[in-house]
Amino acid sequence: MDAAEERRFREFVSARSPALMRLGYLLTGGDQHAAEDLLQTVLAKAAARWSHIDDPEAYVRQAMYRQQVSWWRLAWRRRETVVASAPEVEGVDESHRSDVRLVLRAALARLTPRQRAMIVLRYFEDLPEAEVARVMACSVGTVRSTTNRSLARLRAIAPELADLRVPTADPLEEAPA
Amino acid sequence: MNPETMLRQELREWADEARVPHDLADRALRHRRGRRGLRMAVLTAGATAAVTVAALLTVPGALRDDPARRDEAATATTTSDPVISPAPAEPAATDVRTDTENSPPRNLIAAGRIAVSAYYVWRNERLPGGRQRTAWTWYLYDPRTETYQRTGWSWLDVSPGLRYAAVLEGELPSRRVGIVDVATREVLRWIDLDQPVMRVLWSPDGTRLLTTAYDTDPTIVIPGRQEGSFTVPETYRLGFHVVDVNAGRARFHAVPSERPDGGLRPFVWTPDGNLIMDRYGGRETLPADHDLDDLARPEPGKPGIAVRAGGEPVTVYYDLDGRVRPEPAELRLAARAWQEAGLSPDGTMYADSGAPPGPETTVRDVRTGEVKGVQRMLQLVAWADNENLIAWGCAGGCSNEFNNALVLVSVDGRRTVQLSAYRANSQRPGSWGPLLTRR
Repeated sequence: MDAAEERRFREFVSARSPALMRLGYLLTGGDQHAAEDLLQTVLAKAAARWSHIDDPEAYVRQAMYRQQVSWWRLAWRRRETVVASAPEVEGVDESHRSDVRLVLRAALARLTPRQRAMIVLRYFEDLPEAEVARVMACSVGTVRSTTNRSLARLRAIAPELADLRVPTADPLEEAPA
Repeated sequence: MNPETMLRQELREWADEARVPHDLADRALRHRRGRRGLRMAVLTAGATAAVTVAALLTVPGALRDDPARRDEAATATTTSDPVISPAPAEPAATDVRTDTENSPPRNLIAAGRIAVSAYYVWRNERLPGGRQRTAWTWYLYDPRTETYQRTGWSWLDVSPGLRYAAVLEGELPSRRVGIVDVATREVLRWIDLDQPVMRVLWSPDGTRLLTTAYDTDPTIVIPGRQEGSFTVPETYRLGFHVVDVNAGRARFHAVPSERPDGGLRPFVWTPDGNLIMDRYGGRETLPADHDLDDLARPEPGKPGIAVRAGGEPVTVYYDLDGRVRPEPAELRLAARAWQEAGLSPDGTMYADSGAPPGPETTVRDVRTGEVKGVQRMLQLVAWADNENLIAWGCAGGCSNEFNNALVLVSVDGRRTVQLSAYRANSQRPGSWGPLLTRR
């Protein structure tokens, strides 16, 4: 990376950090430190091949999604086994149960990284299923089933979201929580 | 509101809470340069994995590779596989976070290097035979929601860096300690103990645990007929374990009580984690001009220190193998002026009480005892940095010292920031107490 490239890199980071940190924050379930780690790591990767990247924003966003899912894959595979059923909102005090926001955040934080990434892509980035599939390097069917499973887990944890469903022709297609 | 709209809105509002570091480009470029030389060495973590990520991936080998053993590991004693790498990977946040609206707190409280990593609510629990004991409900910080959430553990301590909690379960004292991932609440492993313990403390470097073992629950009392009167059944403190967390191995060191009603305090680490302190566990029975090193000399036929009536209480020090050691020079004054805050991070000052009737606390020079600052506080409980401490301050004119709140106070006592809401009466069942941990 020469001086001009470094200047361009710095300008990009300066301009796009707020949006990228917002994304990282959601992908890591609201963990500021993990979000910074994630973005810093992906930016370091981007810096290494800066001269070959045509669309830095798209590259960094896609790398963040994939990096986050791959980092956590081992640990989360284990977590999913241990938590056989949708976890209760343990520890949320009775007096706070009506606080939808808290419940929803706790529920989102307890999704697997892959499930959360799908939710973020669909409901934060507002991407269509085909685009989500491209970003996550999987089939549209996988996007649909993972999103359904994620929403089912959210519903199980947060009753306020009982009506939240992905439109589907056949309700029986919905994957179990 | 439509649930989809609610979800969209909540995601946006949640994302708004992200803070943007000012030096991301520098960090990324530095990270990239730093990684070049390491790429060959860190094959499994990948060339781009940050240090914190490497720590996350050091899960037990058995858990990684054998699905059939995953559940077993959550309930049984584990192997000697490494489980955690808990030292903070990079400088932690040092911002001031307050929750002065909720008592007990609901949102993260933190200042400088210290966070309220958890808090407990205590109560008296009735037992058969007219006995009663103290029990605690623990609320542990959840880094994902930045709130405190209730747990079912009987006792816990959080590791420096806030990644792991060491937990005791069920009826205390307990014969095993669990290591819990704070972010997921998952038990990473259980470590069996050959003696029952009531307390567990992470070492300052986050690699070991220190327990305090008792033969029975020392909080059990038999209330008398008059309010406030009670009889204390015989209880003995037995000694301590030093637990190597990654090896999953606990070694017990007996420190027999000389009598049942004394020496019940839990053992604690020295600030550098090299020794274990038994605060006021001994008595200064030697002439005043006698070298304190002689306290390390046990009486013939007795392990540890003899306790004799009449002398001033002194702190006794043990190494990790249970041998009595001389008092470290930097604790010569600090250990006698016990305030929970202890030594400043740079080791030049210590927290002390102030002149009666109070409320007053002081900060003194660690070598000379010279007063460096006076604060109008009840207790100094932790050092936020070298210039500020976390303290208990009392409300209004301090007519009731148990009506208090956590406060950030400068060494000179001039600047204060209220960190928590006031506790109505910290002596009453149902009141809360904080666990302060380096973040």
